[in-house]
Amino acid sequence: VSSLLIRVRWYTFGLFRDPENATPPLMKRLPFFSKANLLILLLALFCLIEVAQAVDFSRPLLPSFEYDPFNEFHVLRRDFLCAKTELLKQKVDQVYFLPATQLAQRDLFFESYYVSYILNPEILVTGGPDSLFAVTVVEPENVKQLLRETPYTLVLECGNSRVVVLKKK
Amino acid sequence: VQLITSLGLFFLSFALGLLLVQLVWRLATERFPSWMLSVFLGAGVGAGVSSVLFTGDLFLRDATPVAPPTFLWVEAGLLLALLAGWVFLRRRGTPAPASSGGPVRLQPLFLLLCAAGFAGALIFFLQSSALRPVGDWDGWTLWDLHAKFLAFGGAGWKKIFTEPLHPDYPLLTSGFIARAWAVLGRDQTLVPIYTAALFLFGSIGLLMAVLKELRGWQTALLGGLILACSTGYTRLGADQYADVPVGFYFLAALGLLLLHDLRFPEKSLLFLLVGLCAGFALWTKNEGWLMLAALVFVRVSFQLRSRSFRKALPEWGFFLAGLAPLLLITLYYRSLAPANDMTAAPWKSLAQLADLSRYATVWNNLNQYLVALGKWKSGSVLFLLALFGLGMGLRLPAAERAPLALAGLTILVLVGEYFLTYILTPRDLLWHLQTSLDRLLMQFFPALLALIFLSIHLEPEKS
Repeated sequence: VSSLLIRVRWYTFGLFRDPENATPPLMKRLPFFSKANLLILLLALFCLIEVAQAVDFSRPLLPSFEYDPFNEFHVLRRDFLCAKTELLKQKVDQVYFLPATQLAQRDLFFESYYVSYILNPEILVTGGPDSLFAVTVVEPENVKQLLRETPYTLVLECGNSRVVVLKKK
Repeated sequence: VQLITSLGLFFLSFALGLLLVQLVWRLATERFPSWMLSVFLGAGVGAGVSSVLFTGDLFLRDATPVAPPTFLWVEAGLLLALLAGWVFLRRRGTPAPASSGGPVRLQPLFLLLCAAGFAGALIFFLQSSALRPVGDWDGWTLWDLHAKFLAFGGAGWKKIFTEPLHPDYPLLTSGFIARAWAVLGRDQTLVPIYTAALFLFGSIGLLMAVLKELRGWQTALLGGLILACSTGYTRLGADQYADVPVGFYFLAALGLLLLHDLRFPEKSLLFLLVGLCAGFALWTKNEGWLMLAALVFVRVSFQLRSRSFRKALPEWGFFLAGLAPLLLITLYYRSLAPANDMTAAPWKSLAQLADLSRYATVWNNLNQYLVALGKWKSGSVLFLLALFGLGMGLRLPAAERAPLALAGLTILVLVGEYFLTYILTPRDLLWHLQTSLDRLLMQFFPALLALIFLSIHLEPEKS
């Protein structure tokens, strides 16, 4: 096995490493690089290629976290938070959030959970289970139908989004 | 003001960890550790200490601390005590840390590639964090959400146990985030982002520090570069998953064991840090229990077999001293929390042990995910490293074989434990494998890289 490994290494990497101390042929032509250094450079180059494929060069390399225009999260958060004070004052039963942004590739459960739990933690932790109201995120194409069919009591315009509050009479 | 406060809290925790590592290391080895080891190990240890002080305060008073926050006074007092100890030891005169590599001549082209690779990883992290400031699914549904209960829940923080997704999960990352949010009075997005950066770049730096101590700069840079450029790992960190922090503590415990065995075999006090890091892994994720079991099982088995267990008793004493506070807080929290979903149907789980098809399914998935470890687009990083090792040759001096074999066995036992967990899981097996196996493998990826690079012949050229 040992002999086989040595042979495999000689035939695959023999250009750089000679098991019997003969001068590797390529080394004569590449005086600047030792066999080990060449392999190390190749591995480092692989790493660079790998990370370069992941970086999105169409975006700012040092993005701003507060005002990134590409970031739909900030739009969603800003729009919902502007309605939060009003929502906290009201004893509401159901809230529909009609985001302005197209929430592609995300299902409604994800968004509902996201808005309920993440954007209104004060509602979640300061009240009992009774004060927890559900938030449903509505896809833009269903907004008109919802407004026609739902006996809403308040529509808050928030940025480009709308928050529809349903309160039982 | 909020930004300065937030960063101030970060640096308070960092200074705590830095001084703690420096002091324990100095007391154990009579030298201060290298700056690299102090900084990167200290960052993680500091985060763990701050998180424990915050959650400990919360548990003791059963409410989120109000001004003045007690835990901050405790942190400040601890910092002053550590600083006094550090100044005292510094004045007594200490030899400089031993340099393992000596003056090294590295190729400018290699350094350039490394600089570009590390910069690329940093940019990728920043871009990912800007796209998803609250992280991905686990980031916001678990760790950030738990932090909100802890920071803003007041006396009602225990409503965390009514949370629908995994209320029993340990609280190290959530506690560290909540500590800052409680002081700031709001859920500043920067805090989970810098927590993610701390553990991600801390893992890369810690891997480099261990390799630098035991081999030299060339090995350290190449090992760190591989981890930094594994974009699956960087993405997992930016997505604020706790698999990266738990992997940090596993690497820290295993790396410290290797440093003890290969550099300071007589310095038992280092086990205090090993115990502390194993304990922090417990307090980060439930997988920490499996890591602790693997570390202890492999080492004790070896010591019993070589009849050196009695001689190693002081080591285990220090290990327990480091582990005990974290063990206590984890057990206390577990006593309050609902049972873990994995134990929902114990009889069904046991019956699954006899189902051979499950073994085949787990085995196939394990192989598939191991080949894709690190999620390299250009191919399998493990295959690439195997080729690289074949080309460079292995370096396993006789004196190093046993410690390296023990580290390798620890990782192997951990994989075995994960394997068994999937056999026993009461959840749908395929769903469970597809949603978690790649993350579990990432937990020991940095430690595996440390082991691989310690075994490859990568001698630096000395000038």
